[in-house]
Amino acid sequence: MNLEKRLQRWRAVDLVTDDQIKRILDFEREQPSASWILYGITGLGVTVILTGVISIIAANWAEISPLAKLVLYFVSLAAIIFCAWRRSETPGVVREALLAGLGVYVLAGIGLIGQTYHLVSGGYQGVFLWLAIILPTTLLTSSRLLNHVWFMGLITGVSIWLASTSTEANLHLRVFATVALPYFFLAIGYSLGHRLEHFGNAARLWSFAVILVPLAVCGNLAWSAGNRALFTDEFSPRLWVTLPLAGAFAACVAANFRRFHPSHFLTGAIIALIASSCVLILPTMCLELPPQSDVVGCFLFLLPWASAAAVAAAMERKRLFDLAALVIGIRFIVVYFQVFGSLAVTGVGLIISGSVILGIAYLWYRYRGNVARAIREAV
Amino acid sequence: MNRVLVAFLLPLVVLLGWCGSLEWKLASGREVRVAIQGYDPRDLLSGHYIQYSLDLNWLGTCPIDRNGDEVCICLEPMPANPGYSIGTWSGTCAERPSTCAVSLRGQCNGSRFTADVEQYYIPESLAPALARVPQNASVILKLDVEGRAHVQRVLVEEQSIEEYAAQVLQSTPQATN
Repeated sequence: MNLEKRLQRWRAVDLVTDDQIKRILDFEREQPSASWILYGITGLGVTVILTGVISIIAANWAEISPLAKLVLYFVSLAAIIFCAWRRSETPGVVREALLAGLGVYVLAGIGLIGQTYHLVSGGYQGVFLWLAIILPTTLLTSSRLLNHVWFMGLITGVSIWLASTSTEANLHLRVFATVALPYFFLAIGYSLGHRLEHFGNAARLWSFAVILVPLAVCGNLAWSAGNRALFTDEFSPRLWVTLPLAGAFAACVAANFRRFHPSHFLTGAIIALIASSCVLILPTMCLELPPQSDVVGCFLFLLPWASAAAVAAAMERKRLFDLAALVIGIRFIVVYFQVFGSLAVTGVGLIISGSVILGIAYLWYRYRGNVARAIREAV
Repeated sequence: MNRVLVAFLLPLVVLLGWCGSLEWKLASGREVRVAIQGYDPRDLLSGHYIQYSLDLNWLGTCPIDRNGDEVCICLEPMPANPGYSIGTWSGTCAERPSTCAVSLRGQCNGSRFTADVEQYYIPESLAPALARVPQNASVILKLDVEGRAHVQRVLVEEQSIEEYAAQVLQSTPQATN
C-alpha cells in the first residue's frame, strides 16, 4: 500500500490531521527517491559496460606490457575517484554505485600489482590491505552493501589467515584472535553505532552471525570430542592480554547498550546470548575437557540459540525466530541420535525414532507461535 | 570536504606508494641469479603462475624443529658457474657469520625453504608450453639489505621464459591443441 492510501486510512480514524498529511507528503516528495527499478537498470547498464571493457582488456591482456597495465589502471582509478568525489555531496544511486565500484576496483588493483611484481601471498595479506584502504570509503557510504561486504571481507580474511597456519605457536595466536573477532565487532557496533549507523548495524549483525554459526558449531564440536586445551601451558601470560581486552570490549558494549536496546527484556536476552557464547567457547580453549561431553556441549550450544530466538521474538522478526527455533529442534533430534543411536539399527527403533522426530516437529509447529507471543507480551 | 577527499585519495596514494616501493627495491637491490627446479612432486601451472623452488642446496636447512622459523642462507657464486649463486651456510638470521656478504632471508615450511619468490606470472597464451619448469631455468632476484628477495624475471638459459615459451609454441604448434 502506498503512502497516500495509508495516510488516508489513518485520516479516517483520526490518527493524523489534514495538515499533518500535507506536511508528511511534502517532506517525502523532497527526499531523493531510491527506486529499486532505477537501481536495477543502473546496475544492469554498469555491469554490461564493465563486461565489455573487461572482455576487450582480457582478449589483449597478454599483449599489454606490465607498465601499460599499471598506467591504465592508475589513470582509470584516478578517474573513478574524481567522479566519486564530485558526487560525494549528492546522495543517491550514482554516488553509491561509484563508491561500491571504487571498492571493487581497488581490490582488482591489489591483484594486478601482485601479478605484475610476481608477489607470493597467502591471500589474506591482500584482503587485509584492501580492507584497510577502503575503510574510509566504506564509512562514507550511506548504503548497507559496502558495509556488509567490508565485514564479510574481514571474516573471509581472518578465515584464510587461520587456515594457512603452519606452526602450533601461530595456531594459538590465530585461534585466539579469531575467537575474539565477534566480540571485537560487538565493541565496534555498540561504540560507533550511533555515529556510523550502517557500519555499526553491520558490525552487530555480523558479530551475532559469527557467534551463532561458526563459533557455536566449533564450540559444540570441541565439547563433543573432548579436546586438549589450546592455552593450558601459555594461558597465564595470555591472561594479562585477555582480561584487559575483554574488559575494554565489555566497556564499549555496556557504555552504549541502552541507547540501542531500551527494553529490559531485549537487554537481558542479548546479554544472555553474548555471555552464553563465552561459556560455550572459552572452556574449550582453556580447560582439559573430558572426552565425550556431548550433553554439556549440546546444552551450551542451545543457550545462545535460545537467546537468539528470544531476541528475534522480542524484535518481532518472525523469520529469524522460526530459523532459531528450527536450529534448536534439529539439535534436539541430533542429541536423540547421539544418545539413542543404537535404536536406529532395528525396525522398531526406527519407528520410535521417526515418532520422536514427528513429535518434535509437531511441538515446534504447535507452540512456536505461543512462545513468540509470550515473549512479545513480556517485552 | 577534506575528510572526504582524504578517504578517496587514500587508495590511490597507498597503491602508488606500494608500486613505487617495489620498483625501488627492484632498482636498488643486489642482483643474484639462482637456478630453479619444478616444485616436487609436480611441475604444474597453478592458475597462470609457474611454481618452482630455488635450487640453493638447501637440504638440511629446515629440520623438523625449525618449521615456521625465519632462516637465512648465505649465497656465493657457484664455483663451476660464477653467474649463478648457491647456498654455502644456513641458520637463523641472527647467527649469520660476518663473512656472509650476501644472504637470502626466508622461512621453513615443513622441511622446505621458501623465500616468497617461488611463483611467476605467465600469460595464459604461453601456458601450454610451460606445463613443466624447463631445464636450465633460473630466476633473477633482487635482494634488499635485509636479504628479502624480489623476483625480477625468470630465464631459460639466457632467454626470458616468455620468449622461450613463445619459441616452443611456434616450433611445436600441436602444443597449443
